[in-house]
Amino acid sequence: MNRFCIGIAMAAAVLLTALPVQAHKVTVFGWVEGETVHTESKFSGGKRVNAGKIEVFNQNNEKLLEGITDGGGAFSFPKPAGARELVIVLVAGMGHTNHWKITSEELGAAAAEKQDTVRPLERQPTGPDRAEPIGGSGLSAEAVERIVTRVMEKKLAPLQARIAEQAWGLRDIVAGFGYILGLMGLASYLHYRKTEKGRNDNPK
Amino acid sequence: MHISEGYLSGPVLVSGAVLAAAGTAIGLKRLDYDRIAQAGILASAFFVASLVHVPIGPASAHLILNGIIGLLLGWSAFPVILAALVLQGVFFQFGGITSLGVNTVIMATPAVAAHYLGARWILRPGLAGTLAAFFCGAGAVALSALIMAAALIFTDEGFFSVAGTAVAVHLPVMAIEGVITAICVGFLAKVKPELLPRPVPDGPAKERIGP
Repeated sequence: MNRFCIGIAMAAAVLLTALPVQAHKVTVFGWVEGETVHTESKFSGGKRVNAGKIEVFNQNNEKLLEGITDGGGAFSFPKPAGARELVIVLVAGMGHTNHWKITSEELGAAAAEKQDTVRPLERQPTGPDRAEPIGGSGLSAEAVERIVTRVMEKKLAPLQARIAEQAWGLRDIVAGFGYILGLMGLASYLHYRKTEKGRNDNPK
Repeated sequence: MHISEGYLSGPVLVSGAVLAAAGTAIGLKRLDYDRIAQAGILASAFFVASLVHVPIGPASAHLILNGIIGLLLGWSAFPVILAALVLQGVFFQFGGITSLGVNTVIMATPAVAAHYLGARWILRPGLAGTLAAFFCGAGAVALSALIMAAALIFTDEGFFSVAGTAVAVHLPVMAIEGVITAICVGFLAKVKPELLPRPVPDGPAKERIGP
């Protein structure tokens, strides 16, 4: 029995040292950059989804367009006019699917930014003249804002992608083991309750 | 091998759930108390096995271990795999809650098949037994791929193309699981042979003890 336990422990050790490893699911992540919506699809763990099907739906669940991801798992399309919300569905085949929602705020932010460049003064009539260059740098406040937004979108995209993956950790694994132990305990409890009842029913 | 939420049509999901419920009921009834600890250990192994990725091949595949689980547990592989799949769904977002039944059938049916087909061969001495154990492990993965292709028949493009891809993708996994199963069976045969299903005269059916 001892050797058996050691064997099991060794097997468990092998499985655990194989961590951290990749999860088995796909994720799709989409973000708006100016007038383009970019998407990125991968099996979590980093392997890109090659030739996965991307379908884009609007807030009324009407399909707007579809496309195929390239070798890097990327697919981009121009921002559809009139859509307030986008749901990007990735169908990676063999039972793998996932979706990503682009909210009206994200779509709107890009729209507002565009509006800004056209009529900055109307949006902030009481503020200082945003078209004026600041501090002699030759850049208007509006131009700075646009540059900052663009850079932020680029910088935040991988961060948001990581959130989209909903990575799990050691804590989840230990929690799973805990539940299994709990189930074993429950089974023992039921078993002993049954045998005790049987003993009380037929005293010997 | 985990089919995601929202991929299958209603009838497929319902049939999967019914079959899984039936298998789980049989499995719980046959789960002898002496095997609770073993079932728990195997459930834990199944639970983490899907985190072990096999980076070979065109897509993403992971260990399943349903062959060895089935060999050791028979019908009780159903409740064990169901419980582990629930936990994988909750903690790792693998598969989904609605597709739980289908996924259980995909992974537990080959386990039961391995038990009943493999029992009479794996205790043969020498190479025959080792090969039998290897094929139990590898075959269970292949059968899972085929059942998955059957479940996807109404969604994906054609049974044969999906089945072909699924089996091809899992070839490395099949090799690894075959080796793992052969090693486990060889180890148990030496150390604790009573854990392995008894060959025919006793019959796996007589394994059932108690009510």
